[in-house]
Amino acid sequence: MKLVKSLLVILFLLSEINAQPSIRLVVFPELNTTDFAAFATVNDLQGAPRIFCAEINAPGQNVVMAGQVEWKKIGWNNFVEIAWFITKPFLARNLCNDDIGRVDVRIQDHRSNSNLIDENLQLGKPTGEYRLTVYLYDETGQNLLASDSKNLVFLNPAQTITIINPRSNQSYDAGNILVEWTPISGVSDYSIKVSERTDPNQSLEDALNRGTPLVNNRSVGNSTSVNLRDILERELRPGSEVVLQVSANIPGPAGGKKIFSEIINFSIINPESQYYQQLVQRFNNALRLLGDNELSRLFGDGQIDLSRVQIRREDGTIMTLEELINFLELNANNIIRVTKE
Amino acid sequence: MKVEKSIILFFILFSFCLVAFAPLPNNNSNYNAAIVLKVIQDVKHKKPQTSWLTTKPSTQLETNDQLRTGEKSVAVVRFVDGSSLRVREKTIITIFADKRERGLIKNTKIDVGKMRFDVEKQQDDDEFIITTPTAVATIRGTSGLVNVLEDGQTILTVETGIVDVKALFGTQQSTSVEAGRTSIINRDGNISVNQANEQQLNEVRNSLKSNEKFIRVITPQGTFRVYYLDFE
Repeated sequence: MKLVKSLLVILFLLSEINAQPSIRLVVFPELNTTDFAAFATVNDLQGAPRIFCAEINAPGQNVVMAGQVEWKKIGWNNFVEIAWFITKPFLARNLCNDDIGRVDVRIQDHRSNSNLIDENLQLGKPTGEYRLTVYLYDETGQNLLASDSKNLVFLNPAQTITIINPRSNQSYDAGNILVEWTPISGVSDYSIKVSERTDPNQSLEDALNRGTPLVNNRSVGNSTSVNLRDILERELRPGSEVVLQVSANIPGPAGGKKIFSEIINFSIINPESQYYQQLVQRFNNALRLLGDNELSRLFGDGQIDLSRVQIRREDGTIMTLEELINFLELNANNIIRVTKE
Repeated sequence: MKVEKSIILFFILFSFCLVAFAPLPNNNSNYNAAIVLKVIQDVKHKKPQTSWLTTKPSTQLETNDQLRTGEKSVAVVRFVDGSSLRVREKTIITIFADKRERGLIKNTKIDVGKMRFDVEKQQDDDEFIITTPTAVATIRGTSGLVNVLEDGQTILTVETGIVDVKALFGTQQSTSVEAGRTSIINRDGNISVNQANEQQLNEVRNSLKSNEKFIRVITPQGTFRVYYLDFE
């Protein structure tokens, strides 16, 4: 009997504990990759991407929720409020930022610091430390029932440019070299520098900076790709080795700054070379394995000049001719058809 | 002597029919046994009384339905229990399903060609059977590839799990084939089981490829697409 009584007391206490209103903030990990533009519209959450949810435990009660976003800029000691909002009373339930402003959860009041929001938008992505705090009030909005807070630190790693194409140590036809690189934020324009590497013992850096460049820091605007042929100052030599670097100009105080990609090296195919002739032969053989199709026929009839062919994967990335040939040779059984667009 | 031979032949054929079709359904009701999830290139299906129809994704296959794939073609078929078959090129299969009181019997008969199986763990009274011209394979939560040659010889490579195999001819040998091993069942009813070689293992891995992708070749004479099969 004693034991039953004790259990009843424990159950009663547990139910009392459960009855205490609580709020728990859940921030989605995707926030790390969320463009801050979405985050900064917290003063008008309708239509915003889902970046946080609040688990509210206050069964059957009408409550008011407030939220605050604060920012500690890199080098600052204190947090400064970016945005704040408070809802009208609603029946307690779990909700996410994109629920706020909808049917049953209306915004009562909000404020935001447009200067800080603009500053964040200019940075292009979350930078520094952010603190998200949610407060749970009773329906009068006067009595704080619970709160929860999460700090998000963005280490702001140094931005880098990665050259997607051409790829190091590959061979390309002089007429079909598309230079592509990854974008970085806050850029006014990108510049390209290309030089010939005449001595294989020369470092890539030396090769880039020595002699007459093929492209001398030519600005290509804020596009992240350019056909090398369109910006060449002199012709590429068949069989030569070339080095290339992309740099980004980021405006700012004291003249801004420049971010450089790694220097990559690649070769220019010489159509007279044995290597190229072997590629042509291998391509011909690989096409034969694909059965009868227009591409094979045109190539067989000598109507397709391989040096003028561009090859792209389904996702748009470039394949070199040699990569395509290797692929066809290794996957002949998996090729199902060749069609013309 | 001639009469004796005829009697022997009759009994062989009779016993073949008994064994080969023993697990098949007793009823011919239109039971939806499986669904075609994916069709690549030339895939057709038919009912016992109809002619071949072009198969489209989400075609329902009822018991006794046949499905065939053309050259460089693939069909992915899924059963109600989540088990799937990747029917490779130039293959003909017949689907049977029999919902018995205590379980569901699924039997896929493959006449010729290659078929990958990814069979979900079967409930106690359920069975997943693959019948070839020379063997019956009982599968429980297993993946692998069955290849039936033109002469009916069956080559079974097991990727995961264990498959019980029984020959339909001769002394009707039976054995278990474990993961990483290949079994060959010939028309004389002989079963050999060996470690799968690299080529056989590669073939099993490649049989998973049922995702159509392409490479674009842009030439002054036009843009061509080279379609190929890749992993899902």
